[in-house]
Amino acid sequence: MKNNDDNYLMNKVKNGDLSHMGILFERHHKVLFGYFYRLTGNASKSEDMMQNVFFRLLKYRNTFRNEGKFVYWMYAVARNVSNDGFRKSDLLSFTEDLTLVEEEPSDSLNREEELVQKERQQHLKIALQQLGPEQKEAIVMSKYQGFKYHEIAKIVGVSESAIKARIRRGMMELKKLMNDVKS
Amino acid sequence: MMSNHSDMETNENKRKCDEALDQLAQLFENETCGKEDLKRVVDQYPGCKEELVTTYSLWMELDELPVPEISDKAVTNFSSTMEQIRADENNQHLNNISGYFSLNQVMKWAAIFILGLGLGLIINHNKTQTVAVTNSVGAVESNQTGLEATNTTVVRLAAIHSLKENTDPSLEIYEMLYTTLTNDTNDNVRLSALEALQNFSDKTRVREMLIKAIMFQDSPMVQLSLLEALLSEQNDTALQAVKEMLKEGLIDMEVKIEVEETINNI
Repeated sequence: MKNNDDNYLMNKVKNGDLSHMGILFERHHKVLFGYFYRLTGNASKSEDMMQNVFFRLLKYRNTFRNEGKFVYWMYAVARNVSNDGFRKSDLLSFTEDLTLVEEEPSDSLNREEELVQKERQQHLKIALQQLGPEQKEAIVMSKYQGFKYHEIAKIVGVSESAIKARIRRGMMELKKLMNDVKS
Repeated sequence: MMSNHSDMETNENKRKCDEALDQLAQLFENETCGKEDLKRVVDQYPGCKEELVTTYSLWMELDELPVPEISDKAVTNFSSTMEQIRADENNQHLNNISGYFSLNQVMKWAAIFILGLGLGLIINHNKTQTVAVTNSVGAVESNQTGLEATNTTVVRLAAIHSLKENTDPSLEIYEMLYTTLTNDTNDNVRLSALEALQNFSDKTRVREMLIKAIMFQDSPMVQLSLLEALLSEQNDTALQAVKEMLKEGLIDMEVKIEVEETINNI
């Protein structure tokens, strides 16, 4: 274990050196925010949830067993935060800022193409929000968080083939939802 | 009969396309999944081309969904709450100690401790022990008369706490705190000794001790606290000493980065 890897730092935190949580926060807060944003479509909720994850890591630091990668544990905590979030509020509050983030206009696209593209992105974002939680989670973890299926399986606690099936069915569902949103 | 045949054909196509999509989903696991991979699956299942292509396109399109920038507020909120948690935990620790000891008891322990310390100094007057520190620093002769010899962590912390309140400390008290800072095995006790010494950091001798103590720390947390204590004095000698230590590579890498930032801010 190198003296700057996540597990080493988390062990330090577990042993009372809380200053190392700052380094872990620096390393992971953006990707974790992205994870929640993909799941909820709401930036401010995602910020709260991201912070909540780090507070829980701190609160439950004694339960860190250093048996797998730190990120597996972090995402396991993130899933709990996400599930609690969904339980506590209705879906509407999570999808309230479904407007797309403004991006710099691309030189290569003319105005009309740009509008069409934006509209399609908007549809895709709405469709993604409407996807079932398990399928959405599998897609987000694979597509955006860069996990392999066996890693997602480990975090989620199901088999690797179940994850692959969730992604396949999720993509089918997403296509249908995209058509529904468009129409 | 015709209808049955047609149903069977449809089911067979559906089964094949499920199989094809399963293969495609397997490819999605690979970040480098590209059009060549898609083409291979399409060649294998030409009847499912449309389904495969639309699924693949949608998967690629997901890349284009932007994520907003995280607000600075979220980061600063976290940092300040972290500071608060750290402070609360430290206070809780001290409160636990004070829960065990009333003021009288603390004074009694402090008196016993100081008496013991005096005796220890006399008995061990000529005894020195070599303490291995680091290869780069080498071996340092050090008097081991710290708080650790006979007392538990709680007693050691309580004793330091009472010494901190001393308005007219002697050189022996500085020496004892310094020995604790450099030799105690417990990080919290060392931090507490540092805090006590910091109260007297207007004395040149104490500043010298703080500078010297850095090289004896194996805990980055104590090392960082020490360096920050020195830098907070904004004393030229201390600043110079810290810079030299950074240059000579005697400081833990993570600590070094943070200290360099502090120096730049000064």
